[in-house]
Amino acid sequence: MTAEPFEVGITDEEIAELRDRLRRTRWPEPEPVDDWSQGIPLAYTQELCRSWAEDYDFGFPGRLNVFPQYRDTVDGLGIHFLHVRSPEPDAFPLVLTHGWPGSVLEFLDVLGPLTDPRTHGGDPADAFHVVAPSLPGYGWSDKPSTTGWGVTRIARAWDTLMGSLGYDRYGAQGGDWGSAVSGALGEVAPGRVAGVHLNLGSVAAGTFDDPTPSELANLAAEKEFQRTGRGYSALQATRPQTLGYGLTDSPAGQAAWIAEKFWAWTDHDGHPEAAVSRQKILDEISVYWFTASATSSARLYWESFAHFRDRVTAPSGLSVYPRDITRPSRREAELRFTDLRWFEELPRGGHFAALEQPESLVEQIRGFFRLVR
Amino acid sequence: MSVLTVSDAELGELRNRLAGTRWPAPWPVPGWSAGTDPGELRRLVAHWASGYDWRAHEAAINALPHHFADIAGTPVHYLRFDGEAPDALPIVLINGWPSSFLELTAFARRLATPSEHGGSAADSFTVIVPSLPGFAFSPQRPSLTDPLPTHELWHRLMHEELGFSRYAAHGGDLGAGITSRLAEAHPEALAGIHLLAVAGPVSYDDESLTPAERAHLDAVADWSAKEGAYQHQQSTRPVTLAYGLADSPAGLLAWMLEKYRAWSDCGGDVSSRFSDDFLLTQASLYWFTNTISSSFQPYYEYGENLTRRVERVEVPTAVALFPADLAQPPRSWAERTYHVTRYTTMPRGGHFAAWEEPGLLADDVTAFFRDLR
Repeated sequence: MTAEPFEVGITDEEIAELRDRLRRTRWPEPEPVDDWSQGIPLAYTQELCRSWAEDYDFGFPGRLNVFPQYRDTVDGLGIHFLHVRSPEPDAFPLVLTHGWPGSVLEFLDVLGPLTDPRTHGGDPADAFHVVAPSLPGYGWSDKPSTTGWGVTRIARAWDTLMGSLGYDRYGAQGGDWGSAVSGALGEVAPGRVAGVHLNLGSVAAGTFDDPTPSELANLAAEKEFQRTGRGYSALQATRPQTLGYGLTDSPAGQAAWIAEKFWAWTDHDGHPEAAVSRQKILDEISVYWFTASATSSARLYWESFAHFRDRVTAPSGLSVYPRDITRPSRREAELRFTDLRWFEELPRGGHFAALEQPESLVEQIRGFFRLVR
Repeated sequence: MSVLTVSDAELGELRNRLAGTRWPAPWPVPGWSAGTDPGELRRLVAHWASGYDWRAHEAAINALPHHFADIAGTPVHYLRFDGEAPDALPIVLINGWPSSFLELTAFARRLATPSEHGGSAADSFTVIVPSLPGFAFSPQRPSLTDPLPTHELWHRLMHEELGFSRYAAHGGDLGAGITSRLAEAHPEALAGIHLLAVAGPVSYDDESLTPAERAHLDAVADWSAKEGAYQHQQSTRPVTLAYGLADSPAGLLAWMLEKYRAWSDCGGDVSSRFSDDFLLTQASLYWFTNTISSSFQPYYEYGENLTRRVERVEVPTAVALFPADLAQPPRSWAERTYHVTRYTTMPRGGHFAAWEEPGLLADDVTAFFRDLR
């Protein structure tokens, strides 16, 4: 394995083609409701796409290229990753894994504080060497051309990657798919993974006979999610190919498919841009568009959706953000996480913690790993 | 009457979009197990972009016996095929999704002029084929709280607009539900109904299930888990899905093609049941009328309980089950809701029976209504 330095780039031609497609978008009729109950409204989708074509700053590659990036072949697949070494000699290695519809771009605001706390108002003893790979089929990692790249195989690849970088004892962190991969990493490499910190803990709701008010609220949210919110995952888990054609061919379709989740899963009072800026929402959408990964990212659901709640036996920490998809109580979480050493419920934030509440997420990661590093 | 005149510019625009389709990376899963097969889709898209003669099909569509009516302020489109006998029984054929009147024309002609198909003129029907609101040439319902649900629209169309005091009705898919509600609401007007699918009972005692009913419910649950994602998405976030399909003809065709293959008696080869021209004309009709988004509305209305649940249908009911259709409810299950007087299991055919097996379907409808005229 030889990691090659890598920089993200998009060409003027790619931007011009995107703008051309956006300007030629053929829109459906307006929805017959005046809210988001049928999905992302036409007026907002049009405004978002107008912005994307006309005044969006396509500078995300430059912001990413500030950090050292590489590509290496792991288990036969080209994997893209950020590798940000801390200036602190005793920094602890940490692999950060993003999810859907996210990317390594999510981590731009946490990389500095995690790797160099000394210059970010923190304690140098909390420093990490951070490795943040793009999931197979996502971002600038290769798209698997065979089946089998589920979370366990990805976890094994991450362990191989960390070993190749000289890290024989490390931590794992993630939300969304990153939570599943990080949990699996603890299972496939128990001797090397010191601990697993997650900002999504997907567990069964409604387990206990004497539910607390917050457990009841989480159960109600889970039922509503099952009733109205799981179409995207059901499609991606069963028919990723069928869904992907329209999303790969239509930037408006791709934007709508992703932006709806910034409404559904973030902490706001009605408008997603109150939680995550339009620039950052469009950055995430741009990653999926320019890498044409609508279908390849959806295939991870087809591969592994049944493994989202696999048991985690590694020393683990869970930080629960109030507007995330699911918000288990400590005792509910302990049914899945058998060695739960850190459990905190945060006052603000949602599914995209690194984007919404980067300072809080950094504090949570530092706090948990002080226990196991 | 020309109902559809696509300009050269619109036709050129469609072809440009098809030729410029941006495709997902290949991923060799066997057959269609993760959704629409890229090889088959690419073949059809290439044909749609160049070889396919839209103008010939446009002329054929325009040559159909189109009519429009205003039903209490709601504009509706329908075809009318007059029966060859003066005392022909009026029948309304109610379409489903992703279908349209196109699929029902061969069946309608057999019912209207049986003597041209080896039958007797005495068995003829005057056939009305309306387009559901939001499908093809019937505009979308202006609001979700429209006081006239679709079955009431069709009753007023048949009873008041067309002056049929007593008539028959047939439907599959969404049309089966509408037909059932029509019969429940207007038993005095319906000679009988002929269904390809049945509404389950509003409630039932689990203890009372026969082994066959239990097997049916298990099969439905299994189908829903493996095949039902489209339904969940269309019921809950139809608008989010629609952007990509309204903007990408390849995406639209992929979405529809999957269903024509999965639900027909084609043994996995969609071409064995549907010609390329049929599939592309159906997709063109959805494309040029830009109705994929509005065609999802009945799913949303049902999911949100805006559609009346069928409780009890007392008019004579025939159920015809085609072996490749989505469900095979036992007679006893249908009898929990309907006054079943005919129950036919067909030797071949599937969900699109009117197109797949117009002769078998017409013979069954004819035999059923012979005693009800």
